[in-house]
Amino acid sequence: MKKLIIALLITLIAFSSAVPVFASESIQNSPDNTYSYWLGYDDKNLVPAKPIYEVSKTIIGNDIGYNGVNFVPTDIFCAEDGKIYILEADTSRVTILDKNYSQISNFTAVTKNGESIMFDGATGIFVHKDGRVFIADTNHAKVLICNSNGEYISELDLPKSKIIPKDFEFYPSKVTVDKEGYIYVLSKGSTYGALLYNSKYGFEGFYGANTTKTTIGGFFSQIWNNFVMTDEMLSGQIKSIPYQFTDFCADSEGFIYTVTGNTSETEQTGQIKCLGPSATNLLRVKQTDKYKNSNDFNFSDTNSSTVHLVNVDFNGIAVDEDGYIYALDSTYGRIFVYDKECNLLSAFGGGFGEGKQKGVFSLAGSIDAKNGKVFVVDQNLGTITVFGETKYGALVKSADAHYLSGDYEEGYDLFKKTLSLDRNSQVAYRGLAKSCIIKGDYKKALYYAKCGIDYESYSQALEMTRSDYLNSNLWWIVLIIVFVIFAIIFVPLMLKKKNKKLITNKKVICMLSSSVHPFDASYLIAKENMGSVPLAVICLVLFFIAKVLQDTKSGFLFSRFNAETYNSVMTLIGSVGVVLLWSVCSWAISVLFEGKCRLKQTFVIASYAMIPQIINSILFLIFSQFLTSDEAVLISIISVLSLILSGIVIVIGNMTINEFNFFKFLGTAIVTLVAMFVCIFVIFMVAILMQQLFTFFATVMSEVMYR
Amino acid sequence: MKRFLCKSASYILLILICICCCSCNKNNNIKTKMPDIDAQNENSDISVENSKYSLSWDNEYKTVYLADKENNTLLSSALYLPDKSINPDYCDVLSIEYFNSTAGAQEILTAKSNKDNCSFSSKKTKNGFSVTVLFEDLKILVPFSVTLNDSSVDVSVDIKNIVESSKFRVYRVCCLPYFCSCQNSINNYYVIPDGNGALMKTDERGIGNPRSYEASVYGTDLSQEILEKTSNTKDIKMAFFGMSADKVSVASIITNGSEQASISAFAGDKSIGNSYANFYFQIRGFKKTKTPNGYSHRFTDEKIKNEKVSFSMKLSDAYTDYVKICGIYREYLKDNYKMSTIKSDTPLSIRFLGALTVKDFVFGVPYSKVEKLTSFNDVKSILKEIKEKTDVIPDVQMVGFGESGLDTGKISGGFGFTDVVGSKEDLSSLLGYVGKNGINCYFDFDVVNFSKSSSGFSKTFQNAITCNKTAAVVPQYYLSTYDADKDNARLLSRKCIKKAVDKTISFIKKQKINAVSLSSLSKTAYSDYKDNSYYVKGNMIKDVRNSIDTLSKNKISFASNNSYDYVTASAKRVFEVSTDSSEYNCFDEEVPLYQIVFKGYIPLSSYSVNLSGNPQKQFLKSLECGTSISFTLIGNYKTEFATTYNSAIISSLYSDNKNTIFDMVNKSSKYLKNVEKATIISHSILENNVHKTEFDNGTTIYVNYSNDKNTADGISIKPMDFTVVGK
Repeated sequence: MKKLIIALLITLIAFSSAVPVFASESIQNSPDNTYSYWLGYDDKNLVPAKPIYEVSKTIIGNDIGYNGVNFVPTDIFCAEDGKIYILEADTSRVTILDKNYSQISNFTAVTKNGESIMFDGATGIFVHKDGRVFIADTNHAKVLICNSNGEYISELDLPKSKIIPKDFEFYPSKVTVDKEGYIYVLSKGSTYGALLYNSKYGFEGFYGANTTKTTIGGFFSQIWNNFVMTDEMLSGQIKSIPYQFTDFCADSEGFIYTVTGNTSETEQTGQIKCLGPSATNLLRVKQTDKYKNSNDFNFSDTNSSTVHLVNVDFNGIAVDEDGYIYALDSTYGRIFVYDKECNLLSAFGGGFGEGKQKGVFSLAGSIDAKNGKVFVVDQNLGTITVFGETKYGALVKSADAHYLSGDYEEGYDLFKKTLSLDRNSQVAYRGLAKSCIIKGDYKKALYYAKCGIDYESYSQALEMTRSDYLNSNLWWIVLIIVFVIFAIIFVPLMLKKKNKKLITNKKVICMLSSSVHPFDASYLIAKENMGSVPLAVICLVLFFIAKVLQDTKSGFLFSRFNAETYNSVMTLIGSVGVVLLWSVCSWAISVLFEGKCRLKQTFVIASYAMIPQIINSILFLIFSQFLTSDEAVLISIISVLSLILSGIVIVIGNMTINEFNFFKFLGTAIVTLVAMFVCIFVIFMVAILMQQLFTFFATVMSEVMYR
Repeated sequence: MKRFLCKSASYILLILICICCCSCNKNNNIKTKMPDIDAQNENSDISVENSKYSLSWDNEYKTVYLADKENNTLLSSALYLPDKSINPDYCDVLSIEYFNSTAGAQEILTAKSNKDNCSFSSKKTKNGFSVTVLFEDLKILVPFSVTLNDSSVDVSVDIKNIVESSKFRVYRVCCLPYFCSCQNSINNYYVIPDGNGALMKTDERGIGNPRSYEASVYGTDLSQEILEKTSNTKDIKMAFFGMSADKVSVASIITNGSEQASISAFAGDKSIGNSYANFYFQIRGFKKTKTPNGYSHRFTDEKIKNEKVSFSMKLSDAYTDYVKICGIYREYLKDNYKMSTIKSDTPLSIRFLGALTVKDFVFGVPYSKVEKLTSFNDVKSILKEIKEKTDVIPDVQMVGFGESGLDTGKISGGFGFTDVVGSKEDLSSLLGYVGKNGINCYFDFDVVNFSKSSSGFSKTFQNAITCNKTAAVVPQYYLSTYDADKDNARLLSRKCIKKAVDKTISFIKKQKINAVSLSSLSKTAYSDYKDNSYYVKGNMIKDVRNSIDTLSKNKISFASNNSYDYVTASAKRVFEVSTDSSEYNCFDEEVPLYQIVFKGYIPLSSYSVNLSGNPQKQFLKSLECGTSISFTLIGNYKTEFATTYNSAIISSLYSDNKNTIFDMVNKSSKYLKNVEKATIISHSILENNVHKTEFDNGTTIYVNYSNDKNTADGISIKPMDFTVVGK
């Protein structure tokens, strides 16, 4: 038996190491990879994707008539008439280009009654559809408003208002205007949100702001500090203030989209927000239940690099006329394209501070998007990169638009075509699932919904399939149910009448009755030695098998199986390992507290207590195949009941075999849990030491071999 | 017990002594004894000439000149200031990069012959002269020679006779760094064979900052273990660069030591008024590691075991265009590799992907499993359908049919085919079908990368090692962060490549296969620091050429994938030829240099249409150069494959692509058949993104890459379409 267990463990460990890493035949898109993330029940899954944008032009100073002079663009804005406005902070210049990227005009100062107002150091530009040009003149603490010839119209200074804090410093960095004519100004260093002016340039107040994230730990720490610290000490503490927006823009419907570079020192979430009139975040991640709203959603790459040791830092945002959100990351130089429901269509660009190639960046500083084009300013290289939509890009956007608007039937061909060009398109799978439901092809809908990890569509299709199945197979299903009920009621009665028993072994009877008659079973185990170690081992093995089957073979709607991370060795440790550890620790502690138990009895009780869990896993496995999401409550009830039942068996069993009262048991149980943690800690320490020892020997071996 | 302990201690001591002895390398190829260079010095100007040119050594200014018969200086090792005087900062005949071998963190330092304290010795040779430069402070002596031939200037650096001190050692040498220079002008340009090829114009832009380029010939050394990456680049596949300029044009070709070379170019520097390009030759390997303060290098003690490195600057008229410069390089390849014109070509190439390693579970325990992408029967039925619909016989490459599929596993796929793609009978049936229909079917084998030991190739003993004496791994980079996964494939020891190829030959002979492709070997150059012959990718060309010779001796057809020139020159077909450069910002135009060199001599297939981000553009790029259009196909797809990060399979399903294949082949086969044997004699980029290519059989194709209808030479071309004129 011992040998068998060792052999089994070795096999498990050997299997678990045989995991593929990367395929050698994958494409390396030049100069950077394009990819997307699939949204599922769990974390985001990165997948390679077909490019939706490609570089159509890289504009340098020479191309727009700046030969022999420096050209360092700071910000860019594409006006509704197709003209492109480029702001240069160093040279205090605004250049206006036509649709073909040829210079129409430029101005280096705003003229007011013949006087020139320079705007060197300005970092933001916005052009209203009525032709007004807004320049966020950071260094001069004002927003200049002029026409496209640079003639002065007005300016916005720091308003005199009670709302403005005394120490507020006004350094306007970005400016935007919504469809109602309200002007929003971001000020560098301000954590109060944007300054809001009405169309007559009157100050209205602050608009929107990030909030500090409060954790439970932080909350309790604050309470504790209030108790133990003096006022002086409290005032010396670092206060957490909200992170400020790095950029914002207004969409055609009047919503304000904001982006924040860093939202936390540890985990980055909620970097992009869509603020409505009441300044609440309206962005929702609809494809997964994991996030209630986008505040908890990480819009950047999930894992920060271990080589580059940096985090994604969003510093630009743009929204095109179709509502697609373009977020610019200055660290990697990537552009993330999201739809309104936070589905990532593609991430492209790159360069990671080098940016020697076309389409990647050294310091991506600003972004705008209009008419199928994305413009990115590189402040280090002095270039503007124009990305044009690929045919696939246009197709996938069109398919996504149909999906978001619910035109599933009309979008069927688009979803199909998208899938034929990129088998990794989640939106195509989800769209096809919805289309198939509408068409009544539920079998295909189930397939596509499963491929696209679309629980909602799967649940709908499953309900319809189940209903169809029941309609056509009702008679024999009813027959089986009647037969089973008949068997359950009458077979025991008949056996009793004939004085026959199905099971005669008392130990087996004791085991099976432990869940329904825990007092009797515990008494038999304690006093009449009816506990059986082989039966307990069988229980444990069955418990492990049922757990693994529950994890890996449950129905799609209820399965949380992640092939990337799953390993049944962990399940073994988490099930059998915990039972064994509990048995040993509980026995040791109970003996210490004058309990009457033996190790065998503790182990048997703990193992028998897993019988409700085995039944729960089996029922979960069966019900998960045909229950829909709305009926999940049934599975939850069974799970809770089985947990309660297992708890009762353990409590009563341990009280009986130790002859403890409830409170004494409770005390020993708590100490047992502590002992378990200590054991785990020791095991980890030993494992780490062993690993270091092996590494040392491996290093010596490699030195010997290669020298 | 005491005795046992004593015995154990003695054994451990013995092992430690052995380890120490093993780690003490002998530096037997480092010369440290300085020769008396004054004794050799002729101490005078030297000049040699032929019917067209004269080549001179100016002993006063220590410069080299090339002049024509009218005494107009065409090329000079010095750059000139506007007042015609020599620019003191740019007048060196030799530039070296060196390091202090006694320092803990070895930093790369630069020394220039005319700036640092140097002594020169010059001597006339048959058609030129030899010069020895002694860097007095560094105690480094570098000999080189310059020779004038009919229409070329040949330069060679005598690596073997470089003398170094025990403290300072040479890392790289660059001879005549400014010889291939020209004035900054929009009409002058450099021809850079980066990826497919690009032009770098020499005009001054903006405020006149220089635009620079540098890359290793035949790619970065894979055994260098680059754990940091910021973007994807493409390799230099041909060992030359060109200069088209107002005084003279040059095709500078590396004739020896191309594996060790880097091409660097600087254009448009307003402060010097000139642009220049040159070769740097690396003679030592190094390991680069990131430190908190930047980077630290650790160089090898020994130099590469190589007699000399040399390059030849072939001279031609002023403003010779890039097509003619490529022609000069083609002639060099023809002379060296006996490249001859092709007899026939096919308009279509197909690359089938066989299988893929995926994760599966046995009772919840993960293990690697090979999943079918395309079976032998799928291949057969797809080929049948394509033949029926297009009447075209394609060339076929079978990739990833080995035991681990597309993933790196055993060497040459374990010299077997995975069961999931079909049985032996299925293979025989496929081979019978392709044989009967005259289809060239190349089975691809990886004889470079491996991750499992098998068939005498041990992962522990038969792998290449880095200069840090650790196993050389081929890192795979994560899509988003570019972090390297180091636990990936290893590189086969350079000594074992021949053995792997021999075993592959015997395996395919057994299977009755007569065509093979070694795609990894054809586009990989790497070092193995077990032997100094293999330092800095040394002798890679020789090793690979030997393997190719073995294949031809065994009458096995050989194909390659986007291969380096020394492989392409002998291949029966080159699949997946890239049609882009690395798209550096310093490049002005993308030009198909590779196709210009090889079209008409080697059958070329362009990068797969269906894998491209813009399939129509990729189709047009194939037609622009008259190369076969290509598709990468699979027969089956599962969504589980998404997490294998394999981007090659996401748009490769045959059923998704077949209509595109039929349309494109039917649209282009007549034109491609017409130009199958033709070479490119002219190529130009016209206004509005229209490209024009002329072939030697009189056919001209105009390709319009813009989204608007355009007219060129009076011919109208639809948006994103082409028009063929002539035969």
